Amino acid sequence: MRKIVLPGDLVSTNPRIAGPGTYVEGGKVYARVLGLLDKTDTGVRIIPLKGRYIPSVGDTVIGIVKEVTANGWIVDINSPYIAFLPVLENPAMRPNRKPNDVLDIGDAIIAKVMNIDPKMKVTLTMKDKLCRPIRVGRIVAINPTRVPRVIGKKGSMIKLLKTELDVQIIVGQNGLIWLNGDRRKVSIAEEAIYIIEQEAHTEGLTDRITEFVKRRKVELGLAKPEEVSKEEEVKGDG
Amino acid sequence: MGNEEIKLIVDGKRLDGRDFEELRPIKIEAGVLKRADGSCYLEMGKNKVVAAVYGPREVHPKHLEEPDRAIVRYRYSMAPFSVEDRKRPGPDRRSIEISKVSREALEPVIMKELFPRSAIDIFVEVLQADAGSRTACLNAASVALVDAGIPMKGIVTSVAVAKVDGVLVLDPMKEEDNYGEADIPFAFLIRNGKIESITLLQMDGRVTAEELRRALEMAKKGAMQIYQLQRDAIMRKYIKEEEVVE
Amino acid sequence: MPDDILVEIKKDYVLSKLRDGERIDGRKLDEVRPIEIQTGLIAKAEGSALVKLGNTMVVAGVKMQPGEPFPDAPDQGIIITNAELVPLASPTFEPGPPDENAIELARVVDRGIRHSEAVDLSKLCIEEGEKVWVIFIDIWALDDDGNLMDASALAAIAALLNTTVPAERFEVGDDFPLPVRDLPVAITSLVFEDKILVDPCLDELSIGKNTITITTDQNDNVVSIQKSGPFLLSESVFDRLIDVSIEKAREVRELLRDV
Repeated sequence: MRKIVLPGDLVSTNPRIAGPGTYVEGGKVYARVLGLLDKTDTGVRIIPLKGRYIPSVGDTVIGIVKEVTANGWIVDINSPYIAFLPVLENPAMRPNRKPNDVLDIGDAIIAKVMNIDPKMKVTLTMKDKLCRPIRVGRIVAINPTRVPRVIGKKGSMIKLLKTELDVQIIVGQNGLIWLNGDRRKVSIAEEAIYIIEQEAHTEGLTDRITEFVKRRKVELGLAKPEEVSKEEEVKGDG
Repeated sequence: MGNEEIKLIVDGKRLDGRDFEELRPIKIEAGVLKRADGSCYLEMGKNKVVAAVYGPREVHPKHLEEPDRAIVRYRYSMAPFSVEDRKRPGPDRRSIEISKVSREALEPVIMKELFPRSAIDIFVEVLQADAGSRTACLNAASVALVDAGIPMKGIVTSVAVAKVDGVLVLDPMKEEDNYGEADIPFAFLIRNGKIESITLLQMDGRVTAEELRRALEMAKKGAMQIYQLQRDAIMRKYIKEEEVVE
Repeated sequence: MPDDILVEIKKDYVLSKLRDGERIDGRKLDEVRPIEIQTGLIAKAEGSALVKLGNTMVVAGVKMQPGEPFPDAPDQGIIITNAELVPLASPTFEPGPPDENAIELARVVDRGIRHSEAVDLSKLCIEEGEKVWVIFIDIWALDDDGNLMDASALAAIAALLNTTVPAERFEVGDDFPLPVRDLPVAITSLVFEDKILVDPCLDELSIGKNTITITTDQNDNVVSIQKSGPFLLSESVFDRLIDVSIEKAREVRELLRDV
């Protein structure tokens, strides 16, 4: 397991390789947040274990409309910073339509962070193929720092869930995840996501999640036990 | 202060049997509250305190926000049932002063510039009070801040030194605080296992300059022990007993 | 507190002079501003003092009345210290109950007087367990040009030196001068990096409201310390501060002896 570090722990004496989650003082590199140490010869960074979501340009986020104005929508993206979606950035807007006919208070959307100004005013856009208003499916909320683990290295974890469960999954960087598909499969996906959230910092997680999903499919009558044990035989010691 | 009738040091030991440089028993647990972004329950002797951190979050009221940094707020509060004679709820002058100096002990360690226009709110409630509740609260707040994932230069650790019957003692308990000659609470920024600087310093009572310097040395040693317990409390949330890391 | 726009502008000037080891008013780093103490100016008070510390001005008034003693000190008088940073003293002070700064100031001044045992509280018993003298020290800021703390502490002890116990008014005996047996003096210094500026003026505080107040008694014992402001204090600066504060307090104390 990666080493857990606390703020103030010395992580390197080479300031040139200092990366996210660290700070440099007096020629030394220290951790500045609670997290997992990821250190190589070329870079040292801390993968945070906790923290609120701070938006970055390009992030996919799921948000809830809080207010409707003539110019657009004020959207809660589960961050200390509120976001704004201008009318021009919502492809569903037409000249003859009013903003609250397109999106109203309480509506959920999948959007992208288009711009952040120096005072942290966040502007969203929905002009991207992933973006849409959410009218079906479920939204699950997890600790935003665990999102990378839900996605997995090169998307491996999210791919695993999609193929095993045949559900649509869109992961917001802000810790909100949209799931859509068969109700029971979505429920297994949700359970799996919570396990990933809890155990994000441990090893062997992908295997454990694979096992968990297969087991739950059998328990909920979505798969036959033989299919599962045949694969386990092939795998050998799990 | 200074009551000749009560002997606070008997046969070279303190009333509760401790050595002069011995801390009271300490228990620390991180992440105990669900709603808060970070939290900590801490016992130090008979003190029982809970700390919660919310943030960074939107500032209310909005006119308090700073365009280029987070504001840090700290509220020290004592529950009415925490002391012998019921304490009326609501901030009194002592709580307001403690809140101020405690905030000032944590603020220079928190990287506020990373979160413009936001607030980092720290709330600490004393559920049961004995001497040194402000140091217990600071230790809990420090753990709660780490638990919340707030970026900081290091960890803040707090402990007090008192002078009783002419002798300096570490981490005074109630009788020593009430009848002693001086009470000196300290807090330190600890980084890379070393004391970096002093972040809280007050003195109530009467000491010589030489005693003051000795008290500082004693406090530093005590703080290093508490720091280790703060670390352990946070690590315990993520490491199961079977897994050994280095 | 709303920002005082003029003070922000002075910040760069203070810092540039400081880099050369100088202060904007020409003082040495450890030099206290000129002090003026006037006593007995408030006729209706039992004791009073006006202190000018440079341009900072503070009035302290002492009122006394009989009251019930605390149950655990049935034969001891009581001291209650309060401070008001009234709006007329600064464009940044707002009307209302004492804020954290006023509370801190009052409590630190109180600790200096209490722990130096400047007033022998056992001499203020009227009837044990029933009636003792209660001393109200009220500090009123009049002009804030920095370091209200030291000015207030000085005004408080000067007012006490000037106080007559109003026994006749309350028909409990003859009036007598309040017995004051120590002269606590507070010395506040601004800390900036490794530099110590004793008795900072308001413009100097624009570089950061980061101060340490050390109060000593006439035997050079330390009777109160307060670090005020969100800053990291290095041990070496603290070590120097102890000696500087004791030395400066001795100088200021000489002025009290004339009161």
